[in-house]
Amino acid sequence: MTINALQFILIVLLSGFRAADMYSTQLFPFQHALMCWVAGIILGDPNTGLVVGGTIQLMSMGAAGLGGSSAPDYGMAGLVATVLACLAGTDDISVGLAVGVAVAMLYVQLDVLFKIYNSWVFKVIRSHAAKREYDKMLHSFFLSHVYLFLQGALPMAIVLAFGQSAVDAVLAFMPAWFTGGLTIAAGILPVTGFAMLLTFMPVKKFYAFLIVGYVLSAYLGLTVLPIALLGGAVAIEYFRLKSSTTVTTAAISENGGELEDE
Amino acid sequence: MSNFFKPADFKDFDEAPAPQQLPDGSYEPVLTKEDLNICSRRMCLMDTVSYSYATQNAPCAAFSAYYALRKIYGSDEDAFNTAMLNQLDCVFNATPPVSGLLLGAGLAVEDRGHLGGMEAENDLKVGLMGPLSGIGDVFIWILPMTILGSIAGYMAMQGSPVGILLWFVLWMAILGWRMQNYNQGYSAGAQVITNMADKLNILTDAASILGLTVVGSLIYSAIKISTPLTFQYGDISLALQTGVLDAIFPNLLAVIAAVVVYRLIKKGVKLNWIILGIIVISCVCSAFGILG
Repeated sequence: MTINALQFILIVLLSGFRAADMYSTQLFPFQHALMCWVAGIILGDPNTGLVVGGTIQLMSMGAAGLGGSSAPDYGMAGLVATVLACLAGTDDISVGLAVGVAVAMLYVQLDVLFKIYNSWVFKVIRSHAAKREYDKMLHSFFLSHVYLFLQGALPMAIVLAFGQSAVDAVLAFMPAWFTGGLTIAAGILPVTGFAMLLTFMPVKKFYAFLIVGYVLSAYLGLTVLPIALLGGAVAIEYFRLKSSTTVTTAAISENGGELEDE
Repeated sequence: MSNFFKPADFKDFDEAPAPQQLPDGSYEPVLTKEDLNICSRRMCLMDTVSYSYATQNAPCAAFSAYYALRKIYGSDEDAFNTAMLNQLDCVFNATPPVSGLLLGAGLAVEDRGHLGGMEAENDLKVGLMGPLSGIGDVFIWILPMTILGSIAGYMAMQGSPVGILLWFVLWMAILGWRMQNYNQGYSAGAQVITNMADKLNILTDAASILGLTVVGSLIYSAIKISTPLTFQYGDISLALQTGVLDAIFPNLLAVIAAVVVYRLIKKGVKLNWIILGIIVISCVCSAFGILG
């Protein structure tokens, strides 16, 4: 498909907003699936947006705990992948996904540039404060917002302008094993999100619940929502038992004390 | 809109009242609930946007506290300037949605002690920003990501936006709470953060149970690896995937992949190399028909 001028502008604005929102207002932080869905709606293909966004969301789990430049910028990956998948117009999202992740690996290196730029912004803010120019000082804070917006918007404009022809060129050259490989990789890549997340969780203490979740879905065929509800029920009971054990132990020792007194 | 981020009764230095010193050397507290709500709202504009290698997130804290400090120091412009520069120079970095608790507690100290309380405020901020972030990261980022993010992601992959909307609504509830968190910090002081850390241990464990159950189910349902290989013994053929692997454990390859990648991350292998590795292995396996 081709995109019209309005779609071009909306997607560029969305990409700029997402980049700025991630660090500043945090209205939709890490909600990549939502952003991809919105991008899909703009491009007239919400379903592709959902599928790409869901895959990226699962890949990105745990990335919030890392921060900085140690993981790809999954928000950017999601938007680029959604745009390319919608432009390609096929059901196969694997090429868009692979290019999106590649772009996001390069894009995240800009994070360092941003922090260096911010050191300059800090100097501006501080010198205005020292000179007691408070209005200028308050305005200078927004230099960071503007930079982030551009950092999200400009690469997206380039992707929109050249993305389709670039992907077409790649597709024309690509042997079957490569496209096949990307499709396989698209199925496997969510594993990185789960693994990354597990490194932040008390796996040694509660690994049994990994088995419970696996059994509920693999053998009993439950979907993720009922499994989350069951897990929630266990969590509530655990919380109640644990909190009341602390109280009971306290009560018992109190009773013991009374008996001795008698 | 201007009253949303700036107090309606804001007065410039020449009109503002002078600070009232009490007999014991402290000052009459002047900040109202609305003043502190404005701090919370201003923090929502900034979060970590000013993060730099200089004083990390301190400029965001300074931006949020600007009108509160103006009110505390009233007509005393010299004192205000010292306080403002102190806010900019005192290193600060905490999980943004909860940092208002700590910054509000800091403002409570400064509201009573003025410049004399600045040292105590700085110690409070630097001392508690680590523990507070420990709590904040778990409850603001990691748990919502595991539970709501995975439900949203998985349902989206199936073509349904219900999970996305669920996450969106719950996140809006957190935003609503944020809009007043300076007030909570201001009235409760440093104690609330210390108390919270004790009580929340059990809650963190309980939430981890929920998170791990969900992740366990997703390892089976959201990772797709299968092999088309078939063994041929004379007339009998045996499909490796359905005949062998699934008979041991359903989607065994996904479980193996999860264990391997988990170990690699634990060993400190960079995530980008793992992603590239998965793509390369997929292409090789595709070329030889091992996976498909």
